[in-house]
Amino acid sequence: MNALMGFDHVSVTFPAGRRQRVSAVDDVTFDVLTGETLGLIGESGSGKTTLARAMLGLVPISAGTVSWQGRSTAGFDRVGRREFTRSVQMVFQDPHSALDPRRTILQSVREPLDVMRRGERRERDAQAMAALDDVGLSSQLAERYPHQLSGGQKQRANIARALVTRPRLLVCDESVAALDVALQAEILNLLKDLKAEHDLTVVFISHDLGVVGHLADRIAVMYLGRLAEVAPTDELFTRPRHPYSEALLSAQPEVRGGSRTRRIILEGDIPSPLRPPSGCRFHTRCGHSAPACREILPELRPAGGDRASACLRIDELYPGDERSAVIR
Amino acid sequence: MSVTLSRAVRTTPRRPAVVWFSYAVLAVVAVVVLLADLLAPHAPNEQNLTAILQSPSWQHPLGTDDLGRDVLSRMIHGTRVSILAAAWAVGIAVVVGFPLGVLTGYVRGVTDAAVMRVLDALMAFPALVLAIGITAMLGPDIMTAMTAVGVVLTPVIVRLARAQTMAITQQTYIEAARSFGARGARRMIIPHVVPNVVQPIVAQVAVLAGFALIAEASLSFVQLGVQPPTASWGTVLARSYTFLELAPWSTVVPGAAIALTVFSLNILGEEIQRMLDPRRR
Repeated sequence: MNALMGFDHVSVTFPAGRRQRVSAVDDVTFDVLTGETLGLIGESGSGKTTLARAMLGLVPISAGTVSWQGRSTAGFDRVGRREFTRSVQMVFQDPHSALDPRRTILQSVREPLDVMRRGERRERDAQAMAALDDVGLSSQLAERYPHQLSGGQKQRANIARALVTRPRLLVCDESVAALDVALQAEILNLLKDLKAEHDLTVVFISHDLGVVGHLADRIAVMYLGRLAEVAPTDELFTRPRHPYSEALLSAQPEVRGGSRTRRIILEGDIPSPLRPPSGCRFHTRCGHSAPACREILPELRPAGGDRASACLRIDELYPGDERSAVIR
Repeated sequence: MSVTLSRAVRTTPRRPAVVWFSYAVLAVVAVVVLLADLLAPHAPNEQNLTAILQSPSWQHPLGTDDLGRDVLSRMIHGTRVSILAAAWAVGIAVVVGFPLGVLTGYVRGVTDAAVMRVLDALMAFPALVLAIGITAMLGPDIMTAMTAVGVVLTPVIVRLARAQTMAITQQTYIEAARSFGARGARRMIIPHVVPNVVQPIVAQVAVLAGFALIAEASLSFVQLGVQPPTASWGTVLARSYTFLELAPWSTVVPGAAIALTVFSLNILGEEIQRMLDPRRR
């Protein structure tokens, strides 16, 4: 499989007061493969949303390159930029605030086509109605305003708006976090169906391991703006190769009770991205940190199979893995 | 599901009587402005020195002033002058202030900082004092005076529009629009920002209109606004004030007209704000 979108040593920083910058995403390298569903997980403040916004070009990248089908997005001309904008769409976290309260659902869903000036007004209306139909919203709702819809209906409208341009890549930023559990399942299944139907590649961002596990083929784990581990979903769940991934997995609530694994309790809060820790950014909370972890900033390295981990002590902590294949 | 129910619940509440009362007041004002020539029983400047300071009678329902002019006719013609003067001042404030506020709130940065410093300085002037100062320099004239009032009111609109724009641009739907390439006035500011900024502005405009009406009356009262013999609510009030002890009724009428209209404009502002909110439709 080839890469639809590639991140090559990408960093995103924001100005924060005088001569300070917050490092939201730091030196991130990975590929989004055509046709896959890539899960992106991490705690609040780990840079997931910034990374998502960087995918759409909504935040300026301070270092590195984002490439789309092998071409750097920075070098796009107007036509290329428009095609890229059409091809990469986002479903936002809060279904309510993502819709303009003063526009009807149909107007909102049609808007991307309006902006891209595609075809006649009647055609655009038809396409928007088709997108509403795709996500299972009845045409009666088209003339309603967002406040007249339920949370689930609103999120369906958001998905319809993202699909109306026939994108290749759909970025879902915590797209079910604001919904109750029953609705979450409904929307997740809808996304699954739509992915198959429309040949989509999906990047699914969440802090909820259960949700990501349900959907993703591969999972990337973020901690404080850097990637800790990238692995196929099953592998990550059964054999995590980074202490942070282990801690995340062990923190999952278990409905059936019993103690499958020892729970790893991380001490303290995620450190400030204004002054990230030296060396491995996780060393301040890691149960296995060695003196070297404080000095050396680990790169994401192959960790056996299709996995990559950014743990310095990977050989000591997880002996016996075969580490030959190089897959990012 | 509950959508239809909640809609029904929200659209049914009756408007309180005070709203209907305010609408009635403003309707009367509007009719008087439009049909002043037909409604006035006498010419506003027609003097009758044999019948000065008369009490209300069938011939002069609101009595006569110190020159024997019919107060009702002067009030009717004065309404047009006063309302137009207030509209002029508020019009200036909105036409200049609204685009400036949306622009500075949208682009921010250096433009914003520069514009806001100028407006801060302007805001330091009390509206009436500036108007008095300017008319003192340029000569008393209602248009000059109300232009000055409009200029002083502009920062109020700018600040409100700017603050509202800043709040709106933080909303996810703005970022969503940006994500599919909506940019500039045609695709971003006019469809998304303006409709969401307008609501508090409309309410503020009604309040400012009341203020401008009072400003007209005040300036005319001190003879820096509407010049005699032209009638306006302010000039009628000023004239009758001199003869307060001899003809008290004729001060009540312009005073009540000003008070009722300002009150009604405030109620109207609230109502408009409610009607513009799609959640209350």
